Amino acid sequence: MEAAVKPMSVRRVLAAVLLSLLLAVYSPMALTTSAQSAQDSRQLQQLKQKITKELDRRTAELQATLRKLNSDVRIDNIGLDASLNSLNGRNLSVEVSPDTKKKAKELAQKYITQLGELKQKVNDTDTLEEAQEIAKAVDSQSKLTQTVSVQASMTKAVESLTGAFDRMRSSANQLQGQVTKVKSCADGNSGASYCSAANGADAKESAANAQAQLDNAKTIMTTIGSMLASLVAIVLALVMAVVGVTTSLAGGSLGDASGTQGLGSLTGILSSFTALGSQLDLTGGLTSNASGLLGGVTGIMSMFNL
Amino acid sequence: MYPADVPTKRKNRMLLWIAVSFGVLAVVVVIVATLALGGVKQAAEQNDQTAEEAPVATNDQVKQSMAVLDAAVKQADTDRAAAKAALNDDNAVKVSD
Repeated sequence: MEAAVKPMSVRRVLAAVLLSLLLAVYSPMALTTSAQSAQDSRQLQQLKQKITKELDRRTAELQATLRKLNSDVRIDNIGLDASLNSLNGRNLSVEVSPDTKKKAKELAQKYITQLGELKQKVNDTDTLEEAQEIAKAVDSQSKLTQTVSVQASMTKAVESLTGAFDRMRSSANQLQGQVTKVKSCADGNSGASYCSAANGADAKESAANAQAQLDNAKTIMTTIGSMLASLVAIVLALVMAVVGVTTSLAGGSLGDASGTQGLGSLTGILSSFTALGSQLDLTGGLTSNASGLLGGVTGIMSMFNL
Repeated sequence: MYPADVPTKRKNRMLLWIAVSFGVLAVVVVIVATLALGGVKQAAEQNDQTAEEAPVATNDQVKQSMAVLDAAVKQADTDRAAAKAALNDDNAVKVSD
């Protein structure tokens, strides 16, 4: 039996037409929103990667510097020749104080921790707006993290130079002993075994030559000692200045530092570190010169059976 | 020299005490001076002995010391270069738009 087909009412037809229209309008809207959302998500991921990469770079730099700072330089300051031990009555012992190193290390460690926390914050971010805020903060404190890295690496550089100076004094002291001994050949000890040089060189002349070079080295070393004493004092002052400024910046946390007054101070501190770097270059150059002179004295003394 | 009412016996006793005190003081001064001079002499002898006995480094020891110095100077150069690189660091990447 075939059921009779009723004609559709006008109301139903209208409802169907409206539904079709709604569907036709909604589909492109839904597609657009979905595409927008996908694009945002892609941008968010890209931004997160970019921020993380920069944070990783800064962290790696600070960690490398901290590793170097954790190794101490040996300073003996013992058994030195009297002429090398004092300068105008002051003890020539120059070393970076443990307190300076401690402050430099603590600051570097603090920023490594904070960079780690910031990285975690980036990972936990799920909106593009929030990620953009963090990106702004990361950019604004690039100078801050650079200053923290610079203060730590400069402290290490000064410490290494004081270590080299200490070794140099020790070598100069040994050489002075040898030169004095060879000098005694001209004072009646000419029969001693050490008075005959391997190539027949005259002991008196060789000793005089060696003493002249050693005296030059000592003069340079006196200058190095003064410069190092000044470097040690300056690096302490600058480390303290960095500690002060970083504490005032955003309460010591890595927030958005743009527009903070302390950033101006960082520029000043970095300029001071630049001046310190120049003084380090000069002192390093003098250290190489003095070391070369001591090498020459070593060469002369090696001809004798000492 | 003394008041007329002081009896002679008392005067003599005072003089005796003064003499004994000076004597004791003199002995103490002599002992202290002797000890001090002895100490100074001993210290001087010890210094001379130390100066005489200060060993002169051998050529091998000096060579070793110079090798340590070279290494220390090289290390200082490396650390100085690292510090200056940190100072001139332009590797920071701008991450915000």
